Amino acid sequence: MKGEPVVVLLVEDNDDHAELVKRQLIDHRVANHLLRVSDGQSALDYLLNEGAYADPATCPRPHVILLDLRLPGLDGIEVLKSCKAIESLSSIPIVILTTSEAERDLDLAYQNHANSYLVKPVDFEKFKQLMDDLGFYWLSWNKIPAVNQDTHGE
Amino acid sequence: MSDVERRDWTIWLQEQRIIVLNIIFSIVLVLGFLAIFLEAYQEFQNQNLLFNLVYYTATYVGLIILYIFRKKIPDFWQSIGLLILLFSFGFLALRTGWLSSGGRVFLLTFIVMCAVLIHPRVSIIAAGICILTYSGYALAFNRHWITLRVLPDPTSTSPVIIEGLGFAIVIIIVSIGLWYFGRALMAADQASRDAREAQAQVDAHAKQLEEANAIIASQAATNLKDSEEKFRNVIQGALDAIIICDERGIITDWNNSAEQITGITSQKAVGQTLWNIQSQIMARGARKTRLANQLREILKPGLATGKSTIFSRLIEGEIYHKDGTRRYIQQLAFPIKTTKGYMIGTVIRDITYKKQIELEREDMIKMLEAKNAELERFTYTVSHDLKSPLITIQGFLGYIEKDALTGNHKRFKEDVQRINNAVEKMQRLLNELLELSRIGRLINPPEDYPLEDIIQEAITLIEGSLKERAISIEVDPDLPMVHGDKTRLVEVFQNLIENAAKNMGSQAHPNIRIGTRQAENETIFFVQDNGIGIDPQYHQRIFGLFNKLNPKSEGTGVGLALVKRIIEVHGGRIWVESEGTGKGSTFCFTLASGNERSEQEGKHER
Repeated sequence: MKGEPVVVLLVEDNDDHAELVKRQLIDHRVANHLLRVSDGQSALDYLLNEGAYADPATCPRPHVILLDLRLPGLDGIEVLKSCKAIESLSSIPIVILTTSEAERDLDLAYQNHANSYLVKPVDFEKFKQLMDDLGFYWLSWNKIPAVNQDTHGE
Repeated sequence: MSDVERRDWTIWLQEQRIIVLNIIFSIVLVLGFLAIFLEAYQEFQNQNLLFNLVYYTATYVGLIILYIFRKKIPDFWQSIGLLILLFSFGFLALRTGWLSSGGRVFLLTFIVMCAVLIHPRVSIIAAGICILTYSGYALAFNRHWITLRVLPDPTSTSPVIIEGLGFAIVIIIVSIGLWYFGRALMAADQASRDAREAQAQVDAHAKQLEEANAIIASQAATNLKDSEEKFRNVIQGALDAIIICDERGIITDWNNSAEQITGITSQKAVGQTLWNIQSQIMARGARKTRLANQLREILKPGLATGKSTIFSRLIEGEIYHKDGTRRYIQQLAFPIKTTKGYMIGTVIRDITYKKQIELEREDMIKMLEAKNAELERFTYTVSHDLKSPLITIQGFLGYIEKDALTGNHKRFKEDVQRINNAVEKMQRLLNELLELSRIGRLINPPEDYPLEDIIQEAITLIEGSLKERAISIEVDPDLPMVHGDKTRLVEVFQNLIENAAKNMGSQAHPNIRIGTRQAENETIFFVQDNGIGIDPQYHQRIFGLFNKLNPKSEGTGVGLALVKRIIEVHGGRIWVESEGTGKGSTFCFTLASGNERSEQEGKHER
C-alpha cells in the first residue's frame, strides 16, 4: 500500500462542512486524496464512473466513503442502500457522518449495513479530534480487501 | 252391615221419615182407641165403667200433650211425667184387675208411644216398669195379699205365671225392636237436622264468599286498571323506544320514543309484524324484503320457545329515520312469557349523539396523531438543520484563530464570510420556522376573492427578482373566484412563483404561466415553468421541510413545505407534474370545494 494514494470520497451537501472535513484530514496528512461530491446522485455516478465521473484516472475508487444522511435529491440512506446492493461497491467501508442523532437514522443506517455512524460534534475541538481519530482508524489501522481493477466500475 | 249400606239405609229412612212417623203414629192411635173401646166394653159388662174409661183417656191425652210439648219440656220432666203416668196405671191395675185384654193392648201401645214419641231408650224403661209392676201384681195375687174383683180369664188353662211370662217376652221383643228402630230413626233425624244445619251454614258461607268475591273482583279490576295505567305511562314516557309484539309477532305497543327515533307513528306501526317494521327501519330497497324474511326466520322460533340467538344481546348499528337521516342505535330484544306462548319486547336507544361525539373524538385523535407525527418530523428536521450552521460557525471560529496567528489574511476573510453566511442562514431558518408554525391557523376568515387579484398581488411582491432574472409571466384570462384566506393564498402564489424562478437553470427564455383547469368537480390551480424540471422520484419529497433538490439553489427548503401547509389548511391538495429533468414543472393544487368548504368554515369558526 505504500506510495498508493489513500482516497476518501466525501458525500456532503454543505460546503462549509466539507471544507472543515477537508482541512482537518489534509492538514493532518491522514488522507492525501479527498474527493467531494455534494449530492446522492453524484456519489453513485462517481462510484460507478458514470456521467461527469466517467474517467477512472480522476475518479479513483475510494478506500472509504464519508456519507452525510441529509442530501438534496437522493438521500444518504438511499446511497448507502445502493452501494451495499452493488457487489463491486459493497466492500467499501461507508462511514455515516451526519448531524443527526435521531434513533431512526441510526437504526436505518445499521440496518442498511453502514460500517460506522459518527455524529458531527458542534464543539470544534471535538470535531478536530473526531476527524483525527477517524482518519487514523479507517485509513491507517483498518484493513480493506485489495480490489481487482477490472471489477471497478461495472 | 257395612257403613256404606247403613248410611244408605239411614238416608232412605231420613227421606221417608215423615211418612214412617205418620204411619206409626196412626197405628198407635188406632190401637189406643181400640184399647179404650175394649176396656169400655169390659167395664160395661162388669158394670163398673166410668173410672177406668176416664183414666185411659186421661193417660192418652197426657201422652199426646207430652208429645206435642216434647221439644219444650226438658228430658227430666218428661221422664217424671211418664213415671207418674205409669204408677197411676199400676195403681189402677191393683184396683181394677190387670189382665184384661184391653189393659195388655194399652200397655203395648203405651210402650210404643214412649219409644216413638219420646226416646227409644224410654221403651226399655217402660217395658221394665211394666214387667216389674205386672210381676209384683202376680206375686201379690198368688200369696193372696190382694183380691181381684176381676178374675183372670176363667177359660184359660195356662197358669197365670206362664201367661205373664209370654206377655213379658212379647213386651221385651217389641221394646228391643222399637229401641233399635227408634235409634236409627233418631240418627236419621239427627243426620237430617245436621244436614239442614250444614246446608244452612254452607249457604251462609257461600253467600259470604260471594260477597267477598264481588269485593275482591271489583278491587282487582281497579288494581289491574291502575297497574295497567302505570305500566302504559312508564312505557310511554321512557327515553328509549319500547316496542312490544304479541305471540304472533304483531306489534301492540309502540311508545313516543319509538315514534321519535324511527319517525314511524304508533298508528302505522301497531298491527304490523315486528320483522316488517324492523326491516323497514334497518334497510332500503330490495334488501328490505330480504331482511324481513331473515328476521321472521329468526324471530318465529323465539315466539314459540322463548329462545333465540338475538335475545338479550346488545346490538349496535345504524337505522334510517323516516326523514331519511341515519341514526346510530343500540337495540336489545327479549322474550316475555305469557299463558299463550311468548311475546317479544325490544328496546331501542338512540346513540347518534354519543356516536357523533365518538366519531369526532376519533377524528380528533387521528388529527392529533398526524400532528404529533408532523411535530416529530419537524423537530427532527429542525434540530438537524439548525445544528448544521452551528457546526460551521464553531469550526471556522477555530480556524480564524489559527489564520490570525499565521497571518493568513485571505483565509481569514474567507472564514469570517463563512461564519457570517452560517449566521444569516440560521436567522433565515428561524424566521421561516416561525412563519411555518403560524400557518396552522388562518389569519383571516375565508372569503371569496377574484383569483386574478391574488395572483397580481403575489407578482407585485416579487417583481424585483423576476425582472432581475428576465422571467416573463403569463396569467390566463377569465380566472374564477377563490374562497379562502387572501393573505395565505397570496403567499402560496408568491412561493410557487419564487420556486419556479429559482429553478429556471440555464433556460434562455424563462417563462412562468399561471392559470386554472377544470377536473371532475374541482378546479385545479397551476403554476407552470419551463425550468429544470423534477425527476418523478422526488415529486413527493420536494414538499418536505428543508428538503432541497438542488444544493446550489437559494432558499432554505421551507417554501414548498409552507405552501403545502397552507393548501392543507384550506382543505385542498398539492402535487407537482413534471416529466423529468429539463422538461419544466407544473405545480398544481386544489382548494376545498362545496361541502368540504362549509366544513372548513365550521372549523374556522370554532
